[in-house]
Amino acid sequence: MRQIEWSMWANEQAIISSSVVLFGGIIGITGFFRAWEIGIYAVVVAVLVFVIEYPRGKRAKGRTTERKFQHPFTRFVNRIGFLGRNYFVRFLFHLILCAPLCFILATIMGGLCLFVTSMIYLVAAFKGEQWSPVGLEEKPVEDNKKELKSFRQPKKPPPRAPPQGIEDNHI
Amino acid sequence: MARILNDLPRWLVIIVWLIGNIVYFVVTYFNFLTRDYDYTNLMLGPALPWARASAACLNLNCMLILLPVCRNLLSAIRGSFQRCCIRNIRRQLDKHITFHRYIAYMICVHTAIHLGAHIFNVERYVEAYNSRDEARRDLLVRLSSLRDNPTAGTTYLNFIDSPNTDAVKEALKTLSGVSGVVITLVLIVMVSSATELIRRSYFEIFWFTHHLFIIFFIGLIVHGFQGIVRRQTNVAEHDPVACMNSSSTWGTPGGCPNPQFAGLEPNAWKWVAGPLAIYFIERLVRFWRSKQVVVVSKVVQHPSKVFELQLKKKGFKMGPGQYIFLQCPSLSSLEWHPFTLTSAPEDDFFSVHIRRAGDWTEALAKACYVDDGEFQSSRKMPRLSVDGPFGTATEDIFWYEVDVFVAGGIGVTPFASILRHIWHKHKEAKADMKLRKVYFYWVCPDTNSFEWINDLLKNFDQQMAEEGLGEFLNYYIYLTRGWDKNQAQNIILHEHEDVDPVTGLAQKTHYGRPNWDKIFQDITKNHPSTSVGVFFCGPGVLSMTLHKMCNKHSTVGGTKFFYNKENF
Repeated sequence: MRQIEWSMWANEQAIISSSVVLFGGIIGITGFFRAWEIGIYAVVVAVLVFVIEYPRGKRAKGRTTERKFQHPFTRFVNRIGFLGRNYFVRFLFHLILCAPLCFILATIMGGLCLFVTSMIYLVAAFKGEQWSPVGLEEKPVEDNKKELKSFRQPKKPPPRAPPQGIEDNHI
Repeated sequence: MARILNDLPRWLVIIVWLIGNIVYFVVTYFNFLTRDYDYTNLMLGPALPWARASAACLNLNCMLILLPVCRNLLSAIRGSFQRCCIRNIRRQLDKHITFHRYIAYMICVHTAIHLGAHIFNVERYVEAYNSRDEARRDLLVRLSSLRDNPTAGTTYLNFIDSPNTDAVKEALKTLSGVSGVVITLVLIVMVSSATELIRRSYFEIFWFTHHLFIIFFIGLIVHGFQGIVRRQTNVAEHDPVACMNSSSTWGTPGGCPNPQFAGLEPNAWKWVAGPLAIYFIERLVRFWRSKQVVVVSKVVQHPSKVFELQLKKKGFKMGPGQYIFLQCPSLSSLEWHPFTLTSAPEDDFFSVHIRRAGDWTEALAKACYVDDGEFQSSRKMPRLSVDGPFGTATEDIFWYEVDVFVAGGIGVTPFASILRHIWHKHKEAKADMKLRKVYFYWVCPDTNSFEWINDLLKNFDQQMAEEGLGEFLNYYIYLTRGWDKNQAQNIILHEHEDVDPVTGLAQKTHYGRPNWDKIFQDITKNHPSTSVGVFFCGPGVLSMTLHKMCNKHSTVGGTKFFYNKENF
């Protein structure tokens, strides 16, 4: 059985949590109910979580499909260093952020989502997983070697004399 | 125009479903603006009809969502449609997982509406004791003060019985609140673990969390049991419009009688009971099938990390291009893996070709002693369970006059079975068959993958030459990833021989990707005004290209291409 990378799931959960928190925050603000200020806090949290979690980490095994336009975010999280890499930090980060959300009804769902996220990150951390950037690798001397490195659709004709017989040998 | 022609049935299904949702939403919405709900709406504001309408749509979609995943049921329906001519309906059944996803998205949307609306509702219930609306404040306090009291003859409207409480606390004191929070959380977890990445790479997470659906349905059923949202039952005696402004005299002689309220009937269970029962039967069938004995009659090792299992099972009947689910309890009692059958229905066994690509397949190869070379006795083989076979698009091959088969890489497996089956059929009943011509395109990244299906194609080459039927099947092989120096030399050296140097087949291998535009044009030219079935199995990008090609080259009255895709 393939090694499960819990952080990948935690990451997906975090992105969804961020949208649920945002939704709750907006509801909380528009409702203008008691302690609606937590709604503002929720919007801030949602943005924060999104920025931290949007860049998908590199998978231990296999190819990593990056999210669209995740590059600048990756660079940002990479720059934070240890705090961005370590999943115990993420666990605490989400756990602390989620606490105030549980005080008003509008954001309680988002708070619980973040709580679940932090729990999955805890599992990931205990399994020894770590965030590492994807797509930031330095590409050495691109110009002359690039052609040789990648497989392109063949531009040359097939290595075969074009006799009359073979009609449908299109490239 | 051509696009409509090909995709019309699919859009029809989607449009019918969407319209159903919208109509049901709107109808329910306006049902909650009637006089029965005047007081409730007064207290809750505009959110109540939104909550109820989304709840109604949730019921509808939660009923639908289980049906597309009943693969045995779908297979049975597909089989019974086989006789009649509704080809297009059958084609829709192949997209069952897509529909399952659409329904799930719809559930998420309505959950969001429902959740948002009920946040407003609960907060408004709390606020009713101290409303911001000065004009209504007294009335709302009066309405909230009504409690269930048989001696005074009153029934409650506001489920919160004391002022100045906390909305979170009050919501979580009720069954509806707790069940709602739990099932929303369950839904979110199910969605987050069903994303492409998790589903493909960490199947176990997806499998386990998706089985939280049991909690989801239990929560959904009990969610309405408490009947917190209430309607007025005595509008005739107590007209809200007339009595609204005299709340202080309610229940006194000369004033209006007290308004009476009753909870709404819980009806989620009525919607989901049927599908749950069907799904339960489905699981029973799967369980029963997993207990049936399957004998591994032969294990064949093929080049390029492919091995073939030949299996036997009592009462097993298959069609061409169908697939089965394999489970090996000694490896994992949860995982069912789909494999395409590569044997023809005419064979006395059924076989699957398995490429050792992942951990499960690797472990299965070891358990079957593939590397030992010699076949061990059937008794030493691990116990296998088989579920299926299940039908896919390729059962329809005989409905078209001309078929175009396109396989990408390992996607060639269903066509192994289909080509064999067609071959058998063709020999038996040449005249009766509607199908007159088959084009087979195999697009393959590297030469390794060629090797194991070569035997089959070689057989075709021979048999066709013997019977002079070269016209029936044309096959083209495309090698997309180019060649190295040695191969190039080899190819040039053997250029003028009869067989291809790479595959050893009579048809020469093509290099580079197929020029689909040209191919489709040629087919249109050769077969004017015919229905052409295009069948594809392989990676998604190529599927999109082909789908577009089919739509582009179809003309009304002229050649029509019907696109069919195998699902994985």
